[in-house]
Amino acid sequence: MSKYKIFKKLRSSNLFILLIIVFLSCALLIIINFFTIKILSANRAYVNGESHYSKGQKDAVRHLITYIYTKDKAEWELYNEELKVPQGDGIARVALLNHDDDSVIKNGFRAGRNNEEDLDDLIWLFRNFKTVPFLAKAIKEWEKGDNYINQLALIGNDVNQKMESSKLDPATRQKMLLEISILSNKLTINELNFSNTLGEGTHMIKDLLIYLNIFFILIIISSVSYYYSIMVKRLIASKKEIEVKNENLIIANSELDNFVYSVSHDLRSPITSLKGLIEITKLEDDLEQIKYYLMLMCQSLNKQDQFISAIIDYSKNKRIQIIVESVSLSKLIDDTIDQHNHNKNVDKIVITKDLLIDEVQSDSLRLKIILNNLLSNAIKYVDETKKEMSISIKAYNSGAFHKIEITDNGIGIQEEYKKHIFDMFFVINSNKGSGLGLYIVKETLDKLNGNITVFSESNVGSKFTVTIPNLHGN
Amino acid sequence: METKYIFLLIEDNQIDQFIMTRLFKKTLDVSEVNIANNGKEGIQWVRDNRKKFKEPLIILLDVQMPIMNGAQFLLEYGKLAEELKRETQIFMLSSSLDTNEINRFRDNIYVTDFLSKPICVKEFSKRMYTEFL
Repeated sequence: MSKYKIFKKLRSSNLFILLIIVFLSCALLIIINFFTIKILSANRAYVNGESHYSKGQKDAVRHLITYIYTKDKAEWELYNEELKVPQGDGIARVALLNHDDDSVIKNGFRAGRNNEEDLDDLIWLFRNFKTVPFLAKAIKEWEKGDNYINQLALIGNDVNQKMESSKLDPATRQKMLLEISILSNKLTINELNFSNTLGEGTHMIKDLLIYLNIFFILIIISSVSYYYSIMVKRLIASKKEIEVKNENLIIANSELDNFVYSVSHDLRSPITSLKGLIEITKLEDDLEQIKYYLMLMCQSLNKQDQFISAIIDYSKNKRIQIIVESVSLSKLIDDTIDQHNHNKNVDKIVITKDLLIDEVQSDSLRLKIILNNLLSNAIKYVDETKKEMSISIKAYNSGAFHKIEITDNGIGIQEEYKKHIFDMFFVINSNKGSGLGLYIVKETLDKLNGNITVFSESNVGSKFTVTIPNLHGN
Repeated sequence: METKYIFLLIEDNQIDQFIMTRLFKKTLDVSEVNIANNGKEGIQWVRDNRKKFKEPLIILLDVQMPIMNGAQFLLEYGKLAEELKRETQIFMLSSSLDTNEINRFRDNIYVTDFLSKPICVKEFSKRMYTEFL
């Protein structure tokens, strides 16, 4: 019983766990997707930013070179303008590393021609992921790039100074152009590395996202499927249970119909007999005969009385709770024998008792019903042709059980009827009983978790063995 | 009584057997009523004895009996040879008041009529005669 309760609890907590898994998976999925999209968007913003950075840097170099050749001040202005782009990003990077105010950082990024809407993402990604390998690598390239930009700025200033003081001779010019070219090439590599690294990072994140999505979706699908299969199993089991219960109800109903039919016959039959006896009494003048008819009437009424008692025993066994108490078997058996003393044959029957046990723990009302019915049968079905009619009652322990045996040398039970004797209303000779006795004995023993077996041979006798559990423990 | 009949009472209750025999003796002046204790004995009696006499046979058949009841008797009776079933009336007896049961038996081709116990012998004898007229 308790094992079943634990199993039931596990089952319902299983379901609860499944639901939690599904819920968590959904939540995690949503969170992961949200953050991944944010990361990818910020990555894209950085790549966009890099595009402006390198364009700015390239245009600055172009303008510087043009300035060197044309000495056009407008070119110098343009050079400064374009250089501000990568310089702005550089300011932003330094400010981020120094944990400066957001406004400083944003101004730097703005100078780098980054989109206003991307600024928060750019800051967020840098702050939270700067230690993540791919971003750290990209930032390193960025740092290198910024260093080169600074060097380029220094060269620019140098050029401007020399241009202003007209000290730019072809040799110096050649040297500066070479330096600018080298710097620009280096910057190209940096810029390439920066975007490639970010690109790799993006691919990695994309793959990770797909795997995580697949993983969680699989979890969700299998949890839901498992939940569904449990529910379906329960439905099927419950449907089966209902079908079984319905079948039982149909059987119970048909048994009830049978019962009502038999009871009404057995209750009414003595009354019709009585009416018939009264009819013939009315037609009779002989007093002796009349006395005989009166005796028959009494007999009929007794039979009806016994039938009603049997029905009451049946009902008591069904309704009343088992009360386990100390019962003396010898006293119970003696009482039962006394109750049958009025029977005409009893004086001639030799009743022997062989009780190896006396006190048992059981329900005394029910033991009384069992012994009464079995002894009554043994007396009813004696074989009057035998020299000595005997009934023996034995009681002993056997393993974890008490056993009570009632043996008689009466008329016995024919083989073909043996399997029916415990059926309700089964009789062979309806004048001797109503067919309830052994049925009630069986029902009573079922309630006591006991058992009854019969060993019998026609014309030889019968032995009924009652088994009840030994609740003593000894 | 004008025509002589042979009577067979198929009934398990000993007191009812006694009542019937007494009533038949007192009211119909019938001294011999053959008795079978259940359907099985009844079939056996018909097999063993029907050919021994030429008079018509009246069977009084109880519905509720152990071993073989009224309905089962009628089933077995149907399987008997025609010459065993000649000139026979079967009257069902019962203390049951179930109308379904009553109608079911009345519909059986071998059953002449259904009587409730205790039977009123005078009424019964009237019905007995009219059947053969």
